[in-house]
Amino acid sequence: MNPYQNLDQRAFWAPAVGKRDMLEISELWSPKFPIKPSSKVATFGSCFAQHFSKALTKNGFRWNNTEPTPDGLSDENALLYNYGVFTCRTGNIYTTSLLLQWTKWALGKEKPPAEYWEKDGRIYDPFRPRVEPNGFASVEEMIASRDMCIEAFKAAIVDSKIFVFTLGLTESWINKSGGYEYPMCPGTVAGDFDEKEHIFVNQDYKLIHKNLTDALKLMKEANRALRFLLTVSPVPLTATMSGNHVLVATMQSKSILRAVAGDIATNRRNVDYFPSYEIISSFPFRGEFFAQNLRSVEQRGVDHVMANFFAGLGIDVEKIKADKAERTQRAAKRKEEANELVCEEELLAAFGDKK
Amino acid sequence: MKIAAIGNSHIGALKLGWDSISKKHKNVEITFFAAAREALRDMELKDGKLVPTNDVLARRLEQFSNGVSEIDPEQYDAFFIVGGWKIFPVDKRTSSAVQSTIASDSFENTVGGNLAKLLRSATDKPIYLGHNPLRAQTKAFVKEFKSMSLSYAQRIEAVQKIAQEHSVTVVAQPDKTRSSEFSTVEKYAKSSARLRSTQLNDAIEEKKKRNEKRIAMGKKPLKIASPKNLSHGKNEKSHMNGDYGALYMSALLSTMK
Repeated sequence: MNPYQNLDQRAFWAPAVGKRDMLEISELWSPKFPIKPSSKVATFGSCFAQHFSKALTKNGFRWNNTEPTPDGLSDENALLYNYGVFTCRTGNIYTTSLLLQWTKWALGKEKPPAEYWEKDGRIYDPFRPRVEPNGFASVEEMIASRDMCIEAFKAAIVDSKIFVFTLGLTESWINKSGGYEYPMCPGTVAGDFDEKEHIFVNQDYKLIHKNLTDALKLMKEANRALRFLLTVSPVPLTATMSGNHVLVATMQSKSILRAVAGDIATNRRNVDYFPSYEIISSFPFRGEFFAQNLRSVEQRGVDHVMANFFAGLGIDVEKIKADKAERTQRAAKRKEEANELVCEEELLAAFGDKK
Repeated sequence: MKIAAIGNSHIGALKLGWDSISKKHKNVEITFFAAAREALRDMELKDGKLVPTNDVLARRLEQFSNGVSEIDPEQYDAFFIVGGWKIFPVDKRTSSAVQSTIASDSFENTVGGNLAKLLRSATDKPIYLGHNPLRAQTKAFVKEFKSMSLSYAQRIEAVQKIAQEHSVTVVAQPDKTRSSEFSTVEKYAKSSARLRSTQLNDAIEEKKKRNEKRIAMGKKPLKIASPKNLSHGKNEKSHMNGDYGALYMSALLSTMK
């Protein structure tokens, strides 16, 4: 008799992985807490987080969109202006320190710095440099837009049930005198790089862990019922300042982020970890979900990740989708009929005498 | 002056308004072309005329314009396109680039804007464009959003800039009809055009006959709404009445002068 004898098959490599087709590797995640289709879910983090928002919406879940697309803006232009990508227009939040920064701004613990970037007569937000493709017309406009986003970030904290955060990077750029962080190195999208003022920091395990713990604590104070789902982005670094080869730097970054996420999820009841990173990056999947550049994740990879997510929740997504489609169709039909009647009625009332 | 007014259901209020003021404008003759909702999306230009691309739309147009379903630009001095696009409230903190893009999308990707462009490709005569009426809102709603919205004039001006590129003039909703930057005075929606169509009365009669059969078969009769109940009541906030139409048509004619 030994303790391994009572374990189920998912604990053993051969039956769980080695002898299976990679697409049949299952039961990768057992959720700590339920995530129901009716639960309001906020999604933030590195670029991979946007796949969560899309999949949740597509599959009939309640994605919390706290900075919705303004009425009248076409779908194409909404995407151009980064509406509907994350729960609000923060752009990518790559690091846990950036998450803490946004949380402090949203909960009034700190105020955003006055810094702005100028390029070709347009103003760029150093904390969301790509949110407006051609920048803002003025500093006042940039601040007003950011204030709106900070308000929406607060709403995401206080008005969500689940907060999904995808950890993306350990490498960061800090303003030395202000002590604040940029999501992108000044001088890349806009702004001027100043080597005395702009400091590269490759964050270590301890710092990442502390920033994430502090961010979760602040959010929890604002919303006692909030639960967190952490993931790690499988997308490799575009470039590294660490001095290491980019492949080595990527593996180091991701390993640290994975360890932090795992540690916090293991030790906190209200935090869970979902293994999207493993599904895309681990070697049994042979890199098959990556595009030719070995960096971008192909849609079938995203679909496989999300299929595992919904399977873990024990939810029959097809049924939810079908139910939602039926409900939507019924509501649309009712509305259509009502509108048709109203609109026809208007015309008949005005022109009826001609008949 | 001969005007072709082309529009969706919102043209109904303007027609009622025009009926009440037309005597004061004896030199103006207006032919109305109407089809509900987005049906006018199915118009195309053929031999210099605006024509429907399907029979259903053709019948609708004929129904409301004395049997005519084609719009020949040669027959009119000016064109007025009613509805098929909206002026939405816009949070004033939204960037000017997004505001301009909303204005552009309001014109470029809508039934109203597309009709205007189609007509412009066929004629150099004046084209006027009016939006769906702003929704009638309660005082409480207006109070809540009052400080947040960009002014109506700013939003109209933004669309006008885009429309101007096609030599199209945007006709704003008269000030008197607006209760705020984003809403219509409630009284212009109340009692909005009443149901008095023989078609709908016929439908009710038919339902009564079906009920007689159902009762005879021991089945529960279907609920029948009275014509009075079918008319727009307090909940109808999108469509306006003849008083609104009269004010709007007067504003249109002033703009044309």
